[in-house]
Amino acid sequence: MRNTSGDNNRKRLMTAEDYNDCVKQYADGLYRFMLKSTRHVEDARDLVQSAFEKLWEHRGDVNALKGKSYLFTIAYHKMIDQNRKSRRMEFREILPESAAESRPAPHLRKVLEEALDRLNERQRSLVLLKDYEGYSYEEIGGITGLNESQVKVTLHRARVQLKQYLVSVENVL
Amino acid sequence: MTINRNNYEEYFLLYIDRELGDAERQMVEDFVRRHPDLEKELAALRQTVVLPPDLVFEHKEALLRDEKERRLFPLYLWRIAAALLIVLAGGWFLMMAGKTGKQDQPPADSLKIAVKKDAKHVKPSTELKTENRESSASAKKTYADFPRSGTLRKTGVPVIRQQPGSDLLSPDSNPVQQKLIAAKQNHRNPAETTNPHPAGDFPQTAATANQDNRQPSMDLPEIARNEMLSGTTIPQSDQTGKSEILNPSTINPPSPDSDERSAFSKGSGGKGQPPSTINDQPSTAQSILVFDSKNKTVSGFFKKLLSGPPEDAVADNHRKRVSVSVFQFNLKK
Repeated sequence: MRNTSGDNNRKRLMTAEDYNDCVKQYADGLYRFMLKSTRHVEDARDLVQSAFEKLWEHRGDVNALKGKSYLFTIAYHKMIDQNRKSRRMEFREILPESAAESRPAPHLRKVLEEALDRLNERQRSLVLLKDYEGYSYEEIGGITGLNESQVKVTLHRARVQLKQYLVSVENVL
Repeated sequence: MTINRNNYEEYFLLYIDRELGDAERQMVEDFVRRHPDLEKELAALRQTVVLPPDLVFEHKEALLRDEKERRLFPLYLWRIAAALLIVLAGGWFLMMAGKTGKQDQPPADSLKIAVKKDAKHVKPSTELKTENRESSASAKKTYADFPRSGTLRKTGVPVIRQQPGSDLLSPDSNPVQQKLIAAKQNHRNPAETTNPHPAGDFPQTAATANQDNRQPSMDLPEIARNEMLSGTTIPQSDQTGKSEILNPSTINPPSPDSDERSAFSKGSGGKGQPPSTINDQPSTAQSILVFDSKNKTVSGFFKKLLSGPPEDAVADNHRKRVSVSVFQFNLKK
Protein backbone atom coordinates (compact mmCIF):
# COMPACT_ATOMS: atom_id res chain seq x y z
CA MET A 1 0.00 0.00 0.00
CA ARG A 2 2.78 2.38 0.84
CA ASN A 3 4.42 1.79 -2.50
CA THR A 4 1.15 2.40 -4.29
CA SER A 5 0.61 5.72 -2.57
CA GLY A 6 4.20 6.59 -3.31
CA ASP A 7 3.59 5.86 -6.99
CA ASN A 8 0.49 8.00 -6.90
CA ASN A 9 2.49 10.82 -5.44
CA ARG A 10 5.12 10.45 -8.11
CA LYS A 11 2.47 10.47 -10.81
CA ARG A 12 0.55 13.37 -9.35
CA LEU A 13 -0.35 15.73 -12.16
CA MET A 14 0.51 19.37 -12.03
CA THR A 15 -1.90 21.88 -10.56
CA ALA A 16 -1.92 25.63 -10.89
CA GLU A 17 -0.16 25.85 -7.55
CA ASP A 18 2.54 23.46 -8.73
CA TYR A 19 2.89 25.50 -11.88
CA ASN A 20 3.34 28.73 -9.94
CA ASP A 21 5.91 27.01 -7.75
CA CYS A 22 7.77 26.07 -10.91
CA VAL A 23 7.73 29.70 -11.97
CA LYS A 24 9.18 30.81 -8.67
CA GLN A 25 11.79 28.06 -8.46
CA TYR A 26 12.93 27.50 -12.02
CA ALA A 27 12.33 30.68 -13.99
CA ASP A 28 15.69 32.13 -13.00
CA GLY A 29 17.60 28.98 -13.80
CA LEU A 30 15.85 28.48 -17.09
CA TYR A 31 16.47 32.08 -18.06
CA ARG A 32 20.11 31.72 -17.09
CA PHE A 33 20.47 28.61 -19.19
CA MET A 34 18.72 30.18 -22.17
CA LEU A 35 20.64 33.42 -21.92
CA LYS A 36 24.00 31.66 -21.82
CA SER A 37 22.96 29.34 -24.62
CA THR A 38 21.51 31.95 -26.96
CA ARG A 39 23.52 34.97 -25.73
CA HIS A 40 20.54 37.09 -26.59
CA VAL A 41 18.33 38.61 -23.89
CA GLU A 42 15.11 38.86 -25.89
CA ASP A 43 15.46 35.37 -27.28
CA ALA A 44 16.07 34.03 -23.80
CA ARG A 45 12.98 35.78 -22.45
CA ASP A 46 10.84 34.53 -25.28
CA LEU A 47 12.05 30.99 -24.82
CA VAL A 48 11.37 31.08 -21.09
CA GLN A 49 7.90 32.47 -21.62
CA SER A 50 7.04 29.99 -24.31
CA ALA A 51 8.30 27.11 -22.16
CA PHE A 52 6.10 28.16 -19.26
CA GLU A 53 3.21 28.74 -21.63
CA LYS A 54 3.50 25.20 -22.85
CA LEU A 55 3.85 23.86 -19.34
CA TRP A 56 0.64 25.61 -18.39
CA GLU A 57 -1.20 24.28 -21.41
CA HIS A 58 -0.09 20.72 -20.75
CA ARG A 59 -0.08 20.79 -16.98
CA GLY A 60 -2.78 18.15 -16.98
CA ASP A 61 -0.35 15.71 -18.59
CA VAL A 62 2.81 16.66 -16.70
CA ASN A 63 3.98 14.99 -13.54
CA ALA A 64 4.09 17.59 -10.81
CA LEU A 65 7.59 16.48 -9.87
CA LYS A 66 8.90 16.71 -13.43
CA GLY A 67 8.15 20.34 -14.03
CA LYS A 68 11.74 21.44 -14.12
CA SER A 69 12.95 18.85 -16.61
CA TYR A 70 9.84 19.50 -18.71
CA LEU A 71 10.65 23.21 -18.83
CA PHE A 72 14.29 22.68 -19.72
CA THR A 73 13.38 20.11 -22.35
CA ILE A 74 10.87 22.40 -24.01
CA ALA A 75 13.13 25.40 -23.88
CA TYR A 76 16.15 23.47 -25.15
CA HIS A 77 14.34 22.06 -28.17
CA LYS A 78 12.76 25.37 -28.96
CA MET A 79 16.17 26.96 -28.89
CA ILE A 80 17.57 24.29 -31.20
CA ASP A 81 14.69 24.81 -33.62
CA GLN A 82 15.09 28.55 -33.45
CA ASN A 83 18.80 28.35 -34.11
CA ARG A 84 18.27 26.10 -37.06
CA LYS A 85 15.90 28.63 -38.57
CA SER A 86 18.10 31.62 -38.00
CA ARG A 87 21.78 31.13 -37.88
CA ARG A 88 22.24 34.21 -35.76
CA MET A 89 24.45 32.42 -33.27
CA GLU A 90 27.30 31.95 -35.70
CA PHE A 91 27.61 35.68 -36.07
CA ARG A 92 27.60 36.20 -32.35
CA GLU A 93 30.28 33.64 -31.77
CA ILE A 94 32.70 35.77 -33.68
CA LEU A 95 32.29 38.76 -31.42
CA PRO A 96 33.65 37.33 -28.15
CA GLU A 97 36.80 36.13 -29.87
CA SER A 98 37.82 39.57 -31.02
CA ALA A 99 36.90 40.94 -27.60
CA ALA A 100 39.10 38.34 -25.98
CA GLU A 101 42.03 39.28 -28.07
CA SER A 102 41.81 42.92 -27.05
CA ARG A 103 41.39 42.18 -23.36
CA PRO A 104 44.70 42.74 -21.58
CA ALA A 105 44.21 40.89 -18.32
CA PRO A 106 41.25 38.56 -18.52
CA HIS A 107 39.85 37.16 -15.39
CA LEU A 108 39.61 33.40 -15.26
CA ARG A 109 35.84 33.51 -15.32
CA LYS A 110 35.83 35.76 -18.33
CA VAL A 111 38.24 33.47 -20.11
CA LEU A 112 36.01 30.56 -19.29
CA GLU A 113 33.04 32.41 -20.72
CA GLU A 114 34.96 32.98 -23.89
CA ALA A 115 35.99 29.35 -23.99
CA LEU A 116 32.35 28.41 -23.53
CA ASP A 117 31.41 30.56 -26.50
CA ARG A 118 33.83 28.63 -28.64
CA LEU A 119 32.05 25.35 -28.02
CA ASN A 120 29.45 24.17 -30.41
CA GLU A 121 25.82 24.51 -29.52
CA ARG A 122 25.34 21.01 -28.18
CA GLN A 123 28.53 21.03 -26.12
CA ARG A 124 27.68 24.37 -24.58
CA SER A 125 24.17 23.33 -23.67
CA LEU A 126 25.38 20.15 -22.04
CA VAL A 127 28.01 21.99 -20.02
CA LEU A 128 25.43 24.52 -18.87
CA LEU A 129 22.93 21.86 -17.93
CA LYS A 130 25.59 20.01 -15.99
CA ASP A 131 27.24 22.97 -14.27
CA TYR A 132 24.33 25.36 -13.82
CA GLU A 133 21.62 22.92 -12.95
CA GLY A 134 23.58 19.90 -11.78
CA TYR A 135 21.71 17.46 -13.98
CA SER A 136 23.04 13.93 -14.28
CA TYR A 137 24.02 12.45 -17.60
CA GLU A 138 20.78 10.55 -17.64
CA GLU A 139 18.70 13.67 -17.01
CA ILE A 140 20.61 15.62 -19.60
CA GLY A 141 19.95 12.81 -22.03
CA GLY A 142 16.26 13.05 -21.23
CA ILE A 143 16.25 16.78 -21.90
CA THR A 144 18.35 16.79 -25.02
CA GLY A 145 17.18 13.53 -26.54
CA LEU A 146 20.66 12.00 -26.42
CA ASN A 147 21.54 8.74 -24.78
CA GLU A 148 23.72 8.67 -21.72
CA SER A 149 26.86 7.65 -23.61
CA GLN A 150 26.48 10.49 -26.07
CA VAL A 151 26.07 12.92 -23.22
CA LYS A 152 29.14 11.58 -21.50
CA VAL A 153 31.32 11.68 -24.61
CA THR A 154 30.11 15.12 -25.64
CA LEU A 155 30.65 16.55 -22.19
CA HIS A 156 34.10 15.07 -21.89
CA ARG A 157 35.16 16.51 -25.21
CA ALA A 158 33.80 19.86 -24.17
CA ARG A 159 35.72 19.75 -20.89
CA VAL A 160 38.95 18.91 -22.62
CA GLN A 161 38.39 21.70 -25.12
CA LEU A 162 37.70 24.17 -22.34
CA LYS A 163 40.80 23.07 -20.46
CA GLN A 164 42.97 23.43 -23.52
CA TYR A 165 41.70 26.94 -24.13
CA LEU A 166 42.32 27.96 -20.53
CA VAL A 167 45.81 26.55 -20.60
CA SER A 168 46.59 28.22 -23.93
CA VAL A 169 45.46 31.62 -22.69
CA GLU A 170 47.49 31.26 -19.52
CA ASN A 171 50.56 30.35 -21.54
CA VAL A 172 50.15 33.33 -23.86
CA LEU A 173 49.71 35.72 -20.96
CA MET B 1 37.61 -1.41 -12.74
CA THR B 2 40.15 0.78 -11.03
CA ILE B 3 41.81 4.02 -11.97
CA ASN B 4 45.31 3.95 -13.48
CA ARG B 5 47.56 6.11 -15.64
CA ASN B 6 45.82 4.96 -18.80
CA ASN B 7 42.26 5.82 -17.82
CA TYR B 8 42.66 8.51 -15.19
CA GLU B 9 41.35 11.29 -17.47
CA GLU B 10 37.93 9.65 -17.78
CA TYR B 11 37.79 9.24 -14.02
CA PHE B 12 38.82 12.85 -13.55
CA LEU B 13 36.03 14.01 -15.84
CA LEU B 14 33.47 11.84 -14.11
CA TYR B 15 34.80 13.15 -10.81
CA ILE B 16 34.29 16.81 -11.65
CA ASP B 17 30.92 16.01 -13.22
CA ARG B 18 29.87 14.39 -9.92
CA GLU B 19 28.96 11.19 -11.66
CA LEU B 20 30.91 8.97 -9.30
CA GLY B 21 29.73 7.36 -6.13
CA ASP B 22 31.37 7.97 -2.80
CA ALA B 23 33.69 4.98 -3.10
CA GLU B 24 34.85 5.94 -6.58
CA ARG B 25 35.42 9.52 -5.57
CA GLN B 26 37.57 8.36 -2.71
CA MET B 27 39.45 6.15 -5.15
CA VAL B 28 40.22 9.11 -7.42
CA GLU B 29 41.38 11.27 -4.53
CA ASP B 30 43.68 8.52 -3.32
CA PHE B 31 45.07 8.13 -6.83
CA VAL B 32 45.90 11.82 -7.06
CA ARG B 33 47.70 11.66 -3.74
CA ARG B 34 49.77 8.80 -5.00
CA HIS B 35 50.52 10.66 -8.29
CA PRO B 36 51.10 14.35 -7.49
CA ASP B 37 52.17 15.07 -11.05
CA LEU B 38 48.53 14.53 -12.11
CA GLU B 39 47.10 16.84 -9.49
CA LYS B 40 47.58 19.80 -11.80
CA GLU B 41 45.64 17.93 -14.48
CA LEU B 42 42.69 17.48 -12.17
CA ALA B 43 42.88 21.13 -11.07
CA ALA B 44 42.81 22.27 -14.71
CA LEU B 45 39.72 20.21 -15.38
CA ARG B 46 38.07 21.63 -12.25
CA GLN B 47 38.55 25.09 -13.66
CA THR B 48 36.32 24.19 -16.59
CA VAL B 49 33.31 24.02 -14.31
CA VAL B 50 31.15 27.02 -15.12
CA LEU B 51 29.63 28.80 -12.16
CA PRO B 52 26.08 30.08 -12.66
CA PRO B 53 25.85 33.87 -12.82
CA ASP B 54 23.51 35.83 -10.61
CA LEU B 55 20.84 36.33 -13.21
CA VAL B 56 17.19 36.83 -12.33
CA PHE B 57 14.27 36.52 -14.65
CA GLU B 58 12.43 39.78 -14.03
CA HIS B 59 9.08 38.83 -15.51
CA LYS B 60 7.99 36.08 -13.16
CA GLU B 61 4.77 37.85 -12.24
CA ALA B 62 3.63 37.74 -15.84
CA LEU B 63 4.11 33.98 -15.85
CA LEU B 64 2.01 33.29 -12.77
CA ARG B 65 -1.39 31.83 -13.49
CA ASP B 66 -4.65 31.16 -11.78
CA GLU B 67 -6.69 28.00 -12.17
CA LYS B 68 -9.89 29.87 -13.00
CA GLU B 69 -8.42 32.42 -15.27
CA ARG B 70 -5.86 32.02 -17.93
CA ARG B 71 -4.00 35.01 -16.64
CA LEU B 72 -4.18 36.69 -13.29
CA PHE B 73 -5.06 39.86 -15.13
CA PRO B 74 -6.99 38.68 -18.18
CA LEU B 75 -6.83 40.37 -21.48
CA TYR B 76 -10.44 41.55 -21.52
CA LEU B 77 -9.82 43.54 -18.35
CA TRP B 78 -7.10 45.38 -20.19
CA ARG B 79 -9.61 46.17 -22.91
CA ILE B 80 -12.17 47.44 -20.45
CA ALA B 81 -9.50 49.52 -18.78
CA ALA B 82 -8.52 50.93 -22.15
CA ALA B 83 -12.15 51.78 -22.91
CA LEU B 84 -12.54 53.54 -19.57
CA LEU B 85 -9.34 55.43 -20.21
CA ILE B 86 -10.71 56.64 -23.53
CA VAL B 87 -13.94 57.66 -21.82
CA LEU B 88 -12.06 59.70 -19.27
CA ALA B 89 -9.83 61.19 -21.95
CA GLY B 90 -12.89 62.11 -23.99
CA GLY B 91 -14.51 63.78 -21.01
CA TRP B 92 -11.34 65.67 -20.27
CA PHE B 93 -11.10 66.72 -23.90
CA LEU B 94 -14.62 68.10 -23.85
CA MET B 95 -13.92 69.98 -20.67
CA MET B 96 -10.76 71.48 -22.08
CA ALA B 97 -12.49 72.24 -25.35
CA GLY B 98 -15.11 74.17 -23.41
CA LYS B 99 -12.48 76.25 -21.70
CA THR B 100 -10.66 76.88 -24.95
CA GLY B 101 -13.90 77.85 -26.62
CA LYS B 102 -14.50 80.48 -23.98
CA GLN B 103 -11.06 81.94 -24.47
CA ASP B 104 -11.46 82.08 -28.25
CA GLN B 105 -14.76 83.94 -28.17
CA PRO B 106 -14.78 87.34 -29.87
CA PRO B 107 -15.33 90.58 -27.99
CA ALA B 108 -18.76 91.74 -26.92
CA ASP B 109 -19.46 93.84 -30.05
CA SER B 110 -18.90 90.98 -32.36
CA LEU B 111 -20.89 88.77 -30.04
CA LYS B 112 -23.93 90.93 -30.61
CA ILE B 113 -23.53 90.41 -34.31
CA ALA B 114 -23.20 86.72 -33.72
CA VAL B 115 -26.42 86.73 -31.75
CA LYS B 116 -28.20 88.41 -34.63
CA LYS B 117 -26.80 85.89 -37.03
CA ASP B 118 -27.86 83.11 -34.74
CA ALA B 119 -31.33 84.59 -34.60
CA LYS B 120 -31.52 84.21 -38.35
CA HIS B 121 -30.81 80.56 -37.90
CA VAL B 122 -33.86 80.16 -35.69
CA LYS B 123 -36.12 79.21 -38.53
CA PRO B 124 -38.65 76.51 -39.09
CA SER B 125 -36.96 73.19 -38.63
CA THR B 126 -37.48 72.10 -42.21
CA GLU B 127 -35.19 74.83 -43.50
CA LEU B 128 -32.52 73.99 -41.01
CA LYS B 129 -32.75 70.40 -41.94
CA THR B 130 -32.22 71.27 -45.59
CA GLU B 131 -29.21 73.41 -44.81
CA ASN B 132 -27.52 70.67 -42.91
CA ARG B 133 -28.44 67.80 -45.14
CA GLU B 134 -25.02 67.75 -46.67
CA SER B 135 -23.25 67.56 -43.35
CA SER B 136 -25.69 64.88 -42.25
CA ALA B 137 -24.86 62.76 -45.23
CA SER B 138 -21.16 63.07 -44.59
CA ALA B 139 -21.62 62.10 -40.99
CA LYS B 140 -23.56 59.00 -41.98
CA LYS B 141 -20.93 58.01 -44.43
CA THR B 142 -18.22 58.34 -41.83
CA TYR B 143 -20.15 56.24 -39.39
CA ALA B 144 -21.02 53.58 -41.92
CA ASP B 145 -17.50 53.29 -43.20
CA PHE B 146 -16.02 52.77 -39.79
CA PRO B 147 -14.83 49.22 -38.83
CA ARG B 148 -17.62 47.29 -37.15
CA SER B 149 -15.76 45.03 -34.74
CA GLY B 150 -12.52 44.64 -32.87
CA THR B 151 -11.68 48.30 -33.08
CA LEU B 152 -13.07 51.60 -32.09
CA ARG B 153 -16.18 52.14 -34.10
CA LYS B 154 -16.50 55.80 -33.71
CA THR B 155 -15.10 58.53 -31.62
CA GLY B 156 -15.08 62.23 -31.60
CA VAL B 157 -17.62 62.65 -34.41
CA PRO B 158 -21.08 63.32 -33.09
CA VAL B 159 -23.87 61.57 -34.91
CA ILE B 160 -27.52 61.84 -34.13
CA ARG B 161 -29.48 59.63 -36.42
CA GLN B 162 -32.67 57.67 -36.50
CA GLN B 163 -33.31 54.64 -38.64
CA PRO B 164 -36.19 55.02 -41.10
CA GLY B 165 -39.40 53.88 -39.56
CA SER B 166 -37.79 52.55 -36.44
CA ASP B 167 -39.74 52.80 -33.23
CA LEU B 168 -37.75 54.09 -30.33
CA LEU B 169 -39.97 52.32 -27.87
CA SER B 170 -40.23 49.11 -29.79
CA PRO B 171 -41.04 46.18 -27.47
CA ASP B 172 -38.89 43.77 -29.42
CA SER B 173 -35.70 45.53 -28.47
CA ASN B 174 -32.87 43.76 -26.76
CA PRO B 175 -32.70 43.64 -22.95
CA VAL B 176 -30.43 46.61 -22.67
CA GLN B 177 -32.76 48.57 -24.88
CA GLN B 178 -35.80 47.55 -22.87
CA LYS B 179 -34.10 48.56 -19.67
CA LEU B 180 -33.23 51.92 -21.09
CA ILE B 181 -36.73 52.41 -22.45
CA ALA B 182 -38.26 51.64 -19.08
CA ALA B 183 -35.98 54.09 -17.39
CA LYS B 184 -36.70 56.65 -20.05
CA GLN B 185 -40.42 56.35 -19.49
CA ASN B 186 -39.90 56.91 -15.79
CA HIS B 187 -37.92 60.06 -16.37
CA ARG B 188 -39.54 61.42 -19.47
CA ASN B 189 -40.24 65.10 -19.21
CA PRO B 190 -43.24 66.92 -20.59
CA ALA B 191 -41.20 68.56 -23.31
CA GLU B 192 -40.55 65.24 -24.94
CA THR B 193 -44.18 64.25 -24.98
CA THR B 194 -45.15 67.55 -26.55
CA ASN B 195 -42.37 67.49 -29.03
CA PRO B 196 -44.02 68.11 -32.40
CA HIS B 197 -41.25 66.23 -34.11
CA PRO B 198 -41.13 62.68 -32.82
CA ALA B 199 -37.93 61.00 -33.73
CA GLY B 200 -39.59 58.46 -35.96
CA ASP B 201 -40.98 61.21 -38.17
CA PHE B 202 -37.55 62.29 -39.23
CA PRO B 203 -35.79 59.46 -40.91
CA GLN B 204 -32.18 59.89 -41.93
CA THR B 205 -31.72 62.90 -39.70
CA ALA B 206 -28.17 63.39 -38.59
CA ALA B 207 -26.13 66.24 -37.34
CA THR B 208 -22.53 66.90 -36.67
CA ALA B 209 -21.28 69.30 -34.08
CA ASN B 210 -18.15 71.16 -34.85
CA GLN B 211 -15.10 69.38 -33.60
CA ASP B 212 -13.14 72.56 -33.06
CA ASN B 213 -16.03 73.94 -30.96
CA ARG B 214 -15.69 77.35 -32.55
CA GLN B 215 -18.80 77.39 -34.63
CA PRO B 216 -21.97 77.76 -32.63
CA SER B 217 -24.20 74.79 -32.36
CA MET B 218 -27.03 76.84 -33.81
CA ASP B 219 -25.86 75.45 -37.12
CA LEU B 220 -27.22 72.13 -36.06
CA PRO B 221 -30.68 71.19 -37.17
CA GLU B 222 -33.16 72.12 -34.55
CA ILE B 223 -34.63 68.67 -34.54
CA ALA B 224 -31.25 67.20 -33.91
CA ARG B 225 -30.66 69.59 -31.05
CA ASN B 226 -33.97 68.69 -29.51
CA GLU B 227 -33.14 65.04 -29.68
CA MET B 228 -29.72 65.59 -28.26
CA LEU B 229 -31.06 67.51 -25.34
CA SER B 230 -34.17 65.59 -24.52
CA GLY B 231 -33.15 61.97 -24.47
CA THR B 232 -30.61 61.45 -27.14
CA THR B 233 -31.14 58.80 -29.73
CA ILE B 234 -27.90 57.12 -30.57
CA PRO B 235 -28.45 54.43 -33.12
CA GLN B 236 -26.40 51.32 -33.22
CA SER B 237 -27.01 50.52 -36.82
CA ASP B 238 -25.35 47.17 -36.98
CA GLN B 239 -25.89 44.63 -39.68
CA THR B 240 -29.19 43.52 -38.21
CA GLY B 241 -30.52 47.05 -38.40
CA LYS B 242 -31.25 47.28 -34.70
CA SER B 243 -30.78 50.49 -32.85
CA GLU B 244 -30.17 51.22 -29.19
CA ILE B 245 -31.53 54.11 -27.22
CA LEU B 246 -29.27 55.72 -24.74
CA ASN B 247 -31.00 58.14 -22.47
CA PRO B 248 -28.83 60.04 -20.05
CA SER B 249 -31.60 60.10 -17.49
CA THR B 250 -31.71 56.32 -17.45
CA ILE B 251 -28.15 56.14 -16.30
CA ASN B 252 -27.84 59.18 -14.14
CA PRO B 253 -30.66 60.14 -11.84
CA PRO B 254 -32.26 63.52 -12.49
CA SER B 255 -29.85 66.22 -11.51
CA PRO B 256 -29.64 69.95 -11.87
CA ASP B 257 -28.11 69.23 -15.21
CA SER B 258 -31.02 67.07 -16.29
CA ASP B 259 -33.46 69.72 -15.09
CA GLU B 260 -31.60 72.19 -17.16
CA ARG B 261 -31.80 69.84 -20.08
CA SER B 262 -35.55 69.52 -19.64
CA ALA B 263 -35.99 73.25 -19.48
CA PHE B 264 -33.79 73.62 -22.46
CA SER B 265 -35.83 71.17 -24.39
CA LYS B 266 -39.05 72.69 -23.24
CA GLY B 267 -37.97 76.11 -24.37
CA SER B 268 -36.88 75.08 -27.81
CA GLY B 269 -39.04 72.11 -28.61
CA GLY B 270 -41.18 73.18 -31.52
CA LYS B 271 -41.77 76.72 -30.34
CA GLY B 272 -38.97 78.27 -32.35
CA GLN B 273 -37.38 79.90 -29.34
CA PRO B 274 -33.65 79.86 -28.82
CA PRO B 275 -32.88 77.34 -26.14
CA SER B 276 -30.34 79.57 -24.48
CA THR B 277 -33.07 81.80 -23.06
CA ILE B 278 -33.60 79.30 -20.28
CA ASN B 279 -30.13 78.36 -19.24
CA ASP B 280 -28.08 80.71 -17.12
CA GLN B 281 -25.87 78.05 -15.60
CA PRO B 282 -22.25 77.58 -16.52
CA SER B 283 -21.11 74.95 -18.93
CA THR B 284 -22.03 71.42 -18.04
CA ALA B 285 -20.94 68.07 -19.32
CA GLN B 286 -22.60 64.73 -19.23
CA SER B 287 -21.36 61.34 -20.16
CA ILE B 288 -22.85 57.89 -20.31
CA LEU B 289 -21.13 54.56 -20.41
CA VAL B 290 -23.13 51.41 -21.06
CA PHE B 291 -21.51 48.00 -20.85
CA ASP B 292 -23.50 45.24 -22.48
CA SER B 293 -22.06 42.03 -21.06
CA LYS B 294 -24.20 39.87 -23.33
CA ASN B 295 -22.99 41.35 -26.58
CA LYS B 296 -19.58 42.34 -25.13
CA THR B 297 -19.98 45.92 -26.18
CA VAL B 298 -19.21 49.18 -24.49
CA SER B 299 -21.11 52.19 -25.71
CA GLY B 300 -20.56 55.71 -24.63
CA PHE B 301 -22.00 59.14 -25.12
CA PHE B 302 -20.67 62.53 -24.20
CA LYS B 303 -22.55 65.74 -24.21
CA LYS B 304 -21.07 69.08 -23.38
CA LEU B 305 -23.31 72.11 -23.07
CA LEU B 306 -21.23 75.20 -23.42
CA SER B 307 -22.09 78.74 -22.49
CA GLY B 308 -20.30 82.03 -22.65
CA PRO B 309 -18.03 83.42 -19.93
CA PRO B 310 -19.75 85.11 -16.96
CA GLU B 311 -18.75 88.60 -18.06
CA ASP B 312 -20.39 88.04 -21.39
CA ALA B 313 -23.42 86.34 -19.97
CA VAL B 314 -25.76 89.20 -20.85
CA ALA B 315 -24.38 89.84 -24.30
CA ASP B 316 -23.93 86.21 -25.19
CA ASN B 317 -26.89 84.79 -23.41
CA HIS B 318 -28.09 83.26 -26.63
CA ARG B 319 -24.88 81.54 -27.56
CA LYS B 320 -25.07 77.93 -26.55
CA ARG B 321 -23.19 75.09 -28.01
CA VAL B 322 -23.53 71.37 -27.62
CA SER B 323 -20.62 69.07 -28.23
CA VAL B 324 -21.51 65.44 -28.60
CA SER B 325 -19.32 62.40 -28.95
CA VAL B 326 -20.48 58.87 -29.44
CA PHE B 327 -18.45 55.68 -29.50
CA GLN B 328 -18.88 51.98 -29.27
CA PHE B 329 -16.46 49.13 -28.66
CA ASN B 330 -16.86 45.46 -29.36
CA LEU B 331 -15.01 43.44 -26.73
CA LYS B 332 -14.14 40.10 -28.12
CA LYS B 333 -11.97 37.48 -26.37
